[in-house]
Order: sequence, then C-alpha cells, then structure tokens
Amino acid sequence: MKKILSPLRDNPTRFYALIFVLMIVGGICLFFLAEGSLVFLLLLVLGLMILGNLLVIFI
Amino acid sequence: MFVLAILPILIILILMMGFRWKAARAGSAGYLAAMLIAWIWFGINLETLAYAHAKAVFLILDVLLIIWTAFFLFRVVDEAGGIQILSETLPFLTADKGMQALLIGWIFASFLQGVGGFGVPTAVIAPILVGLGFSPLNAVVIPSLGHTWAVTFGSLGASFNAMMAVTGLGWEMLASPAAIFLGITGLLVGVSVLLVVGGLKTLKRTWLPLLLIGISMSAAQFFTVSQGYWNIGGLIGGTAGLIVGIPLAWLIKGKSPVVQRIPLRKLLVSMSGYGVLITLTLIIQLIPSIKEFLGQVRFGFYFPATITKMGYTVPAGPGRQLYLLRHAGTTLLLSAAAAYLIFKKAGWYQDGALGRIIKSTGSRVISSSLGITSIVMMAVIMQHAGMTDILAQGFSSAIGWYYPVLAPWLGALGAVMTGSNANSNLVFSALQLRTAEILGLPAALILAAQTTGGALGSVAAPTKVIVGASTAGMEGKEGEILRKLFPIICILLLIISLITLLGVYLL
Repeated sequence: MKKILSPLRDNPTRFYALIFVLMIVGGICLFFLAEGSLVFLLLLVLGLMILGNLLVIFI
Repeated sequence: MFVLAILPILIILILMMGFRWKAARAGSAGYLAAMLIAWIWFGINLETLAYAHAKAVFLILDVLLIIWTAFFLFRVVDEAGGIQILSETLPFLTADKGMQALLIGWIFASFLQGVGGFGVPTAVIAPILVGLGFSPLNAVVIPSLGHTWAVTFGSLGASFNAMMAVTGLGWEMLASPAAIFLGITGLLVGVSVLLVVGGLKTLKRTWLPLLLIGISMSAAQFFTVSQGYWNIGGLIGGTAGLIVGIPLAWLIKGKSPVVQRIPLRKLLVSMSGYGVLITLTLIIQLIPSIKEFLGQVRFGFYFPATITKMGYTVPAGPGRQLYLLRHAGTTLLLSAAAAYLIFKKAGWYQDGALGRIIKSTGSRVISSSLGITSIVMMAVIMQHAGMTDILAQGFSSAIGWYYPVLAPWLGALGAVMTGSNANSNLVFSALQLRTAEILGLPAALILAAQTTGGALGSVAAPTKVIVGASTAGMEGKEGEILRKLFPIICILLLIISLITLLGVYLL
C-alpha cells in the first residue's frame, strides 16, 4: 500500500492531474451510462470518482 | 432538511477558513458530503446523479478554459519581462498606492470584467499588483472587490441575460433598478479598495477621485443599460472609468514617484497580449456576424428531465453549451499566441522559454482545477437533489415580510455556491420573483437585489478565490483570502439589504 501511495504523496501535481482527468472523463461517461442498462459500469465509474476524492482528502 | 442542505457548503467553508485546507481537498470533502446527503436524505437516484455530473463537466470546462489560458497569457508576458516593465511603468503614471489600486484594481478590473468575464480581472490584475509591491493577499482582494459591481452587466451582460431569461421579464423593467443598485455598489467597492490599501488615511486622501470616477462609471453604465444596451453596460462603465481615471492618476502622482522613463514602444510591446485580448473580445462581441459565425462550433448535451424520490424535478433542457471558437478562453489563447510571436520577434525570450511557460502554467493551475471541479460538481448535485431549493425556501419562509433584507443574501448564496452571478440568477431569480409576487413586493427591486447580491457573492465564491490565489502565488492560502473578503462582502450585502428595504417600503 505504501508503495502505491508514496509516489502520489511525492508528486501531488501529477496526482491532482490524474484525479482531475478522472473526474472530467468520468462525468462525460456518466452521461452515456445514465440512460443505458449498464448499471454496473455506472456504479464503477461513480465508485472510481468517489475513491479519487477520498484519496485527495486523506493523502 | 435545511441543516442537511447547507452542510456541504459549511463543510467547505469551515475546512478552508478554519482548518486552512487547500480548495482541492476541502472541495472533495464538500462534494462527497453533498453526494451522501443527496443520496440518503434527498432521494437522488443514480440517473439524476449521473446527469448532474455530466452537466457539471460543461460548467467546469467553461470556467477552466479561461483560467488555464489567462494564466498562460500571463506567463507568456511574464517570461518576456513584460510584467516587470509594467511594474516599472505604472508608478510613473502615479506613485500613489491608493490611486494605483483605484486605477488598476478598480477601474481596469471593471473594464476587464466588461469585456471578459469569469475570473479574468483577478487572474490578470493580481500578478500586476504583486509586481507593484502590493502584498499577494491584497493583490487578490483588491481586484476581487474592484470588479464586483461590473459583474452583472459585464461579460457582455451574461448574468443580466440569465435573469431576464428565467423570469421572462424585459430589460425595460429590470435594467434601471439593477444599474442603480450596482452603481451604489460600485462606489462602495471603491471605498473598500482604498480601505484595504491603507485604511482611512488613504480614503481621506483619495476620496475626490474615487467619487468622480465612481459617479462616471456608474452613470455611464446606468445610461447605457437604461437605453436597452444592457450587453455593453459593463464595458461602457469600465471605459468611462479609464477615461476619467487616467488623467486623475497623472494629476495625483504621489510625493515620491519612482520615475524611470520607459520608451513607449517597449511599453506597447510588453502589453501587446492584453491589447490583442481587448481588441479580439470587442470584435467578437460587438460584430454580430462574426459572433454568429464563431458560434457555429458548439459542444454540449441535451439533458432529459430528472426527478428525485422526493419528487423534486429539474426540467429537460440543454446544459451549458461550449462555444469553442468564441469562448473567452479561445480569445485568451489567441492573445497569448500573438503575444508570444511578438515577443519572440522582438528577441525578448531566452532559450527554452516556451517549455518553461507551459511547465509553469501546468504546475500552477492543476490544484485549482481540481478544486473547481469538485466544488462545481457539489453545487450541481445540490441543485438536482433539491437541496438548493430547500435552502431558498427555508430562508424565504423564515423571514416573511422582511424578505427584501434577505433577497441580496440569497443571490450571494447562489453565487458563492456556484461561483457565478449568472448561475445564481438562473437558480434563484424565478424563486425571488415568485416570493415577491406572493408578498406583494416590487419584483424589479427584489431582482435588482438578487443580482447585486449575486455579483457580490460571486467574488467570495471559493472557485473565484482559487483563481486569484493561483495567479498571485497564494495557492493553498485561499482561506486567508476568504477571511479578508468575507467581512467586507457581508458589510456590503448588509448595506444593499437596507437599501432594498428602504426602496421597497418607502418608494
């Protein structure tokens, strides 16, 4: 776990850029997933966005 | 429900101001809190949540395109030494700190708001004021306050247009009262700027130019919009300020001017990027055929109606449309490209300049971008869950006949949440109109208070504060800026509240 988190802590700019891209791309994907039947994919994208924000808070 | 609805906003404000968290971190907390509260207590479903996220993406891109390119333009000019030249030239115009603050942080900021829009005045002016020796904190606070009064009729009237669209009322009814309220606000923010610079001493020394410039700008805006030209009200107001302010600045040179003559050509070249920006903006906004042509490239989705389990409905409609070619960000990017070529041809750059410009721009704006992303997503989720509506209704029913006092605060709340006067008008204007009708109050005055409150609140919005902070070297210190801005904005809102109350019951 430390091996995964320490590069993020050491380079916050890249980490923030990664989460930013995740939020924008995720938001667009959610539009296309909203009307479809792929609820699992919708939950997955939303889950990733939540996880990304949790990492921003706790890292 | 009211407490739950306001919780995400409180979380962000407390974390930023109390615990000094960065906007990106506090914004993430607010975003997650809004989603959790909307899901558990407001019955938002997956589909609505998904559409809210997608709608937010377009608002975010709309905002960030300006932030990225404004900072890029600044770095293009700064790398060539342009800011340094400006910093050495402006004290030649006047060495008086009060006049410098009025000329650049009030008048020029208002002009830029007139021709530009969201975040541009603070993003452009804060670095200039830092270069002139103002503290980074004051360098952000001064233009933030200074351009407030020009927000509604600035950006070529976008916020005013939003209010007309939502209420269905025309400029004949709404323009004059709004211009009067904003004109009074203009004078008040001028006073605030001087108090921030040097307290009562500076105000006593500079009150006459303040009064002359303030009256000129407010009167010019009032006469322009009351004749139906509401789309150029902010622009004309700012231009009138420059016409009156520059000669006054020459007259009040200060006791010990740092005089260092700069060749006119050098000064013109150093400011070429901003000159191109103003020229391009005027061409695009004032020539209908060009505006129409550039408006053909559009990017956006049409969103279906959504309904929560509690029955709160958001009607179907297009979300924010991105007009890529006539977007202020595109104009800023073209201005930056033109400035780069001019500086390059003039031999002002050292080797590797472009790489340094791009790298420094990227590293400076990314934290702000993430903060804006989470805060806008939070605001849109709150709107779709009905949390914003609950907040507005709660304020209205609790206040009753004293509603005129509340009207500007509601406008300000909307702007703080959404980061924009236009969004506040979109969210709250219809509610303000309906409440005014129920209570038998003059709608034009209540809506003037709404948009004035929205203009004032927009500068205290975390999203705008992040913009200012990122361009003045205060990233991560957004809380300090908010702590200084908040009391001033609250006092100004209180004055507008009293004027609204007097206007409603005495006129």
